[in-house]
Amino acid sequence: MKLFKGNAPQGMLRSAAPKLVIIALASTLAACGSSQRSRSLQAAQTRLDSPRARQLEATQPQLVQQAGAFAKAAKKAEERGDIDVANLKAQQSIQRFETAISLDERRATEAKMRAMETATESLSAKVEDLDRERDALSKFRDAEMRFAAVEAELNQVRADDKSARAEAQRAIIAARRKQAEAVGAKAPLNAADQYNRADALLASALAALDGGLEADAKQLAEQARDGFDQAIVGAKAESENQVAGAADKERAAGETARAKAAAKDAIETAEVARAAAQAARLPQQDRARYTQGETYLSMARARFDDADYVKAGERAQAATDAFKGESKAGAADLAIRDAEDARGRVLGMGLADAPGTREADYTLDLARDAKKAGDEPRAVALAKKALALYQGVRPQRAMPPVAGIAGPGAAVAVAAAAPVDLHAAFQQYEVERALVRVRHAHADALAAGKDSVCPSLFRGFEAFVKLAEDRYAAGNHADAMQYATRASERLAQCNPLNEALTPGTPGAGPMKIAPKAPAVAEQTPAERRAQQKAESALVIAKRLMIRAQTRKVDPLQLEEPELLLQEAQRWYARSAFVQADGLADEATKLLRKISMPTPAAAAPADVKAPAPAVKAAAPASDTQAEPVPPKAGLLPRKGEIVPVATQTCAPLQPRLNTVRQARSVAATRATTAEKQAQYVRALKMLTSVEGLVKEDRCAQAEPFLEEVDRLFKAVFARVEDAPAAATPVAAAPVAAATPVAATPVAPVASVAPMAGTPAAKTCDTLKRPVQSAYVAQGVASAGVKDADSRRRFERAVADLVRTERAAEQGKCADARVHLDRAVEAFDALSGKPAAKTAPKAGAQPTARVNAAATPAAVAAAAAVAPTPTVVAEPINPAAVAAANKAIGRAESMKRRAVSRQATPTYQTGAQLLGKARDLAAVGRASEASAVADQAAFAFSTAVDDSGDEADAPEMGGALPSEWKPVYAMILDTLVLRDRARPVVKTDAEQLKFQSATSFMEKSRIAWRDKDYVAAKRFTEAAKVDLEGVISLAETRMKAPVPVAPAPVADPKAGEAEIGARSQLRAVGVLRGRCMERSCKQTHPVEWASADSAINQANSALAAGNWSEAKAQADTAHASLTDILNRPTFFIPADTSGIRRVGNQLMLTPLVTFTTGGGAIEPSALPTIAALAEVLKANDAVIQRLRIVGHTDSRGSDRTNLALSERRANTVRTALIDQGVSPSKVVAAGMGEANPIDSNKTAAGRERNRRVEFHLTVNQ
Amino acid sequence: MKRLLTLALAALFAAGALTGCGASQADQLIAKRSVDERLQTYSTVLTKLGASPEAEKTRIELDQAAGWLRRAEALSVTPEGAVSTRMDMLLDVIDGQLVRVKAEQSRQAAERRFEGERTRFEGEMGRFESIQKKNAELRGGAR
Repeated sequence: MKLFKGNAPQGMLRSAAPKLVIIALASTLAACGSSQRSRSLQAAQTRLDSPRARQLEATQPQLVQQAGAFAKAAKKAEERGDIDVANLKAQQSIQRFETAISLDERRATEAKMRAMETATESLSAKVEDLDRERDALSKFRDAEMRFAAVEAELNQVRADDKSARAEAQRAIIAARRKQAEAVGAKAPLNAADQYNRADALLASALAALDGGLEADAKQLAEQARDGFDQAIVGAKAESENQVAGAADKERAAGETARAKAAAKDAIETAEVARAAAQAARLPQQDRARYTQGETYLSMARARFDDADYVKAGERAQAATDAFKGESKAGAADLAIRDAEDARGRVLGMGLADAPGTREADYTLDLARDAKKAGDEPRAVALAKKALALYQGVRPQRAMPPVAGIAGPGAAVAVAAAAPVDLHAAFQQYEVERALVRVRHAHADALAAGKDSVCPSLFRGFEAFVKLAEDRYAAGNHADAMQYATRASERLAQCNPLNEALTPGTPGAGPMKIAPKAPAVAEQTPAERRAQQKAESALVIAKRLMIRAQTRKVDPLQLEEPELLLQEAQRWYARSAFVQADGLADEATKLLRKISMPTPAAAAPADVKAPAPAVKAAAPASDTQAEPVPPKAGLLPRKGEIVPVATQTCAPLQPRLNTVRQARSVAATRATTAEKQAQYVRALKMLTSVEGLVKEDRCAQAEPFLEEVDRLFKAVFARVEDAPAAATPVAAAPVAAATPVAATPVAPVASVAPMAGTPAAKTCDTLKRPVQSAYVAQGVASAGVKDADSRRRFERAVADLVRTERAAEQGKCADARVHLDRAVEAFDALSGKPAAKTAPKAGAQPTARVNAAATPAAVAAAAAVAPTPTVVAEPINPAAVAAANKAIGRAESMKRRAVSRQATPTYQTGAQLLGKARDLAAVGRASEASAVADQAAFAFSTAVDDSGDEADAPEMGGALPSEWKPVYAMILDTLVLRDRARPVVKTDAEQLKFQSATSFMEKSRIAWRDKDYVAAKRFTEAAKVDLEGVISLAETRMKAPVPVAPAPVADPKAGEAEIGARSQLRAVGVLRGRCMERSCKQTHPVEWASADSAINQANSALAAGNWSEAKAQADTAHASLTDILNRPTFFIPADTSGIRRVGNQLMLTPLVTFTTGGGAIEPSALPTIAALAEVLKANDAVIQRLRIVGHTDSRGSDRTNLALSERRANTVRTALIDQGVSPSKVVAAGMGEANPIDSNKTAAGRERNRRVEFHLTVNQ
Repeated sequence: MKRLLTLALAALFAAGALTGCGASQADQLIAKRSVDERLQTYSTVLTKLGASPEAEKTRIELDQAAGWLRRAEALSVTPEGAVSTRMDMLLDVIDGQLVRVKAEQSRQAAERRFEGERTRFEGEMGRFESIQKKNAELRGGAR
């Protein structure tokens, strides 16, 4: 101060001023720096001194240590005066500390989350259980009403009633009571599987009762009752287990408390040991051991926090050992412990069954083995590998892990591990486990008696086990694994439900009702229920089918339900249970319709009925009441126009009504077999009469009506003296059950007189010829064109009726004469040559009797020939064999085309096949052969249309695919022509029909000459004409229809319903196909339209508005067909080596290039040419083809990219040279960026060097 | 003689320049490239962390890291600064800060997941209670 105030000169002061300013600024800055320094350092130090730091020392020791170290460095820097460094170091200390806090809190949060997840999962499982219980209870309540009805029905029957129905009802009620008991015992919750199974059985029992299968219903109900019993036992056991579980929990809680206390002690001991070690300067002397101890201690604390007290104790013990220096554990032990710790975590996460866990377990086992064998390095390597594998375990489902894909950790570990063929070892391990499992399963199955319950399945299982063991012994682990899996699958098929439902030879016989059940392990409860429902529906349908087959129902009638059933089984096998259920239900409905107890069919069914008289006469009625099989040529087809009654036959209506009333009375009085036979005959005649009336053929109907009237009156006239105590025959709605034939069908069964009468033996020989004559009548009806032929036809029918009458009276010779006359007339009408007597092969004379033969000769012939056959041509064994072969071929094709049953082509095939069978039945082998060939062709076309290239047809395979729709159209038009022919009446219709016929002939010629364009044009013209014919006929027939006063079901309504349902089914199939082709995405407008129409059709169906339903179904059908018929990408039939997989085209052989260059190898040029052909053929469909070149990883990125681009461009140029449009092909190179295999192996590299063809098609 | 001595000295200097000095420059270049790479990496990570859903709650720390990053980038422009101890320290601080932010964000994400899980649990509990009630009603009706 003196300097400034005293003697200092002014100049000096001036010169010192800047220095002073600088000093002042420097001191200010220093103060600021000091302040900054002190804040950062202070913050770091505050953190380190906080209680949180002590907590963090346990969980994040390394980070806390680093934070401390940085704080120290900051202090030193501060002391040095390097403030910036001090600040940075202090910041680093804070960072480490904060990171430690975040990580610690994250760990704690994750632990809480895991606990919450576990709790949620447990709760979800409980909710699911409750949900199941709710479903069961709801079902139970719904079922109560039905049970009440059954109970009421049972109350109505007498107490001593021993009928099968009453027995079944009793059994069902008993089962229902047991079910109520099971519900009370909480079986739906605690023994859900057993309860659901029994519930399904009970549902099946009810369905069987509805379907008239009383014996089955009873059996099923008894099984259901047993099932509920088991469910009750199971539920009780489960409840006891739960109680025991609670006790266990208490015990476990005690044990946990003890373990917790022990772990706490151990941790405290370890902490004491650490303090001692620090005091003994262990960190300085043996840093590694001290760190190891720290690590174990922190792990112990973490385990303690996670409530894993056992592990915590172990780790704390290890820490104490480390601090005290008493640990004998070597590196291997430590590594194994680490791996075990990781294992504990994995198991704690519920990933015990995850694929990676097993591999890790195995690796850990190997590590332990290596340790035992004293191979420390190997043990360490394997344990580390196991640790990495455990860390790589992920909860998602995946393929069994192999080295390199188990996770990043695994990959690292594998790289570091000893050279072990881990994949092979793992596979061996897997096979061993699988074999052990199947051996256990074998023992269990034997204990459960499955060898006797399902012998065939069990034998299969044993065979597969043997194969698996053999393959394993031979070192073929892959095959062994496959066989072991198959063995398990085979055993799983031995389902008690299926086997219990198989009577007779369980599991072995051909009557395997339930199809192969898909694996149920991954099913949700809803899926399981759907499966059980579908299974029940299938069982019922199959049983009804068997019943129908044993009743000898016409195979043609069984065709549709059979196909439905097959389809249902296919859906079931694909685990599409809802569809399977629906189809099986439809099959069941159809089968019930078919086997609805008509009076004819009721007789055998009544064998079980209590009426003794009926029971005694059953065999006779069984034979006589055989229903007349409907003829293929006579029955109105789907959508076919059936002429309706006009006013012309109105005078006959009152008499017809009287006869119907007589029928009703007779139905209640036909109590004996004889009367039933008479009743049935009259009923059939009545049906014929109704048919004649509908066709306005009143003159022909009148005499038949008299006869029917007489017969019905005879039934109840004779009954006056007979006791009327027997069960009355139900008056079934015959008209609804048996479609009305277009021509009179006289009763065949009546030809054979009652067993035991003297005439029976003689005239029995006429039975089959008469049946054949009816078939011939069906064929001949198509040849009725004019008045003359109609007259001859009716005369022949009258002769046939006389044949029956004569046979009934025992006048077999007369019957034969009438029969021959009828057959001859039918043959003439069918356009066949005049019949002549032809001896059968060998010495056996035929029963085909010439019309000129004398009655005596006829009688002699009839006496000699035990089984006469009506033949229309000389029997030629070769021709018959050829016909049989052709029919067999057609049937085979039909089976292959079963998935296309809704298509017109298939239906045409079915019609042709039926016709072929008819022709074969009347001995017209050569014609049958030709027609069967046509049928086979139609079926093969149907298969072709499905687009299944692998299932190439035997015939028509050479037909260019683009013309196949034309062929289908021709077939459709032929069907249309057949439909139009019978309705042609007026001149205008006749003209149009002739025009259509002419066009069809031209089309045929054009087709033969392979002029497909012309054939298509002519067919279209014919189709228009035929549609015009049908339209005219419909307009003509829209005259007011007299309302039938009698309570006879309207056959047209049934037909309309069937038509609507059938069309809807076809629409369903189309919709499925469309869905497979993603039509919804590609054609949203059309799809929405079709969907809307389907919904409306379903609504109309539910409301009983068949015509509307049919119309809407037609609309939907048209929309879907339109979508499906639009051009799609296809591969020409003569092209090989190209296939489409998704949006890629795969080429075989692959396109290869000269080494290091971009030139295509000559061997790949044909493939390129084929690809070009495919692209040209689909030019209209393809939007773009992207050629992408790829390389392996050898060479630099740039080189590889250039090379891949060059190769892709070479292929593009080659395709353009072949005529492919340049605008549609683009090329790109990806270099080594997208490998599809490892680049470490030669094979992998080869796969990576490739060219891909990505296709974009127009939608 | 003097001339010879001058020539020998010149040759010696030239050799030194070609060997020692050249190698030193190459090392510096490598170190510089390493610094640039690290800066680039940190910049990318910083952008990524800044765009994460939890970025808002770690904004201060992210800004801090961004400040250090700018400082390091400015320092890296000079050859001396790029290979200095201070640059190393700055990079370590950035690294530590990014780790800290990452840890904090992962903690927040874990919290969020936990909250989601808790909501799920509560939903399940609600379902459980409602079905239990319904079943009790059904059981009462069935009996």
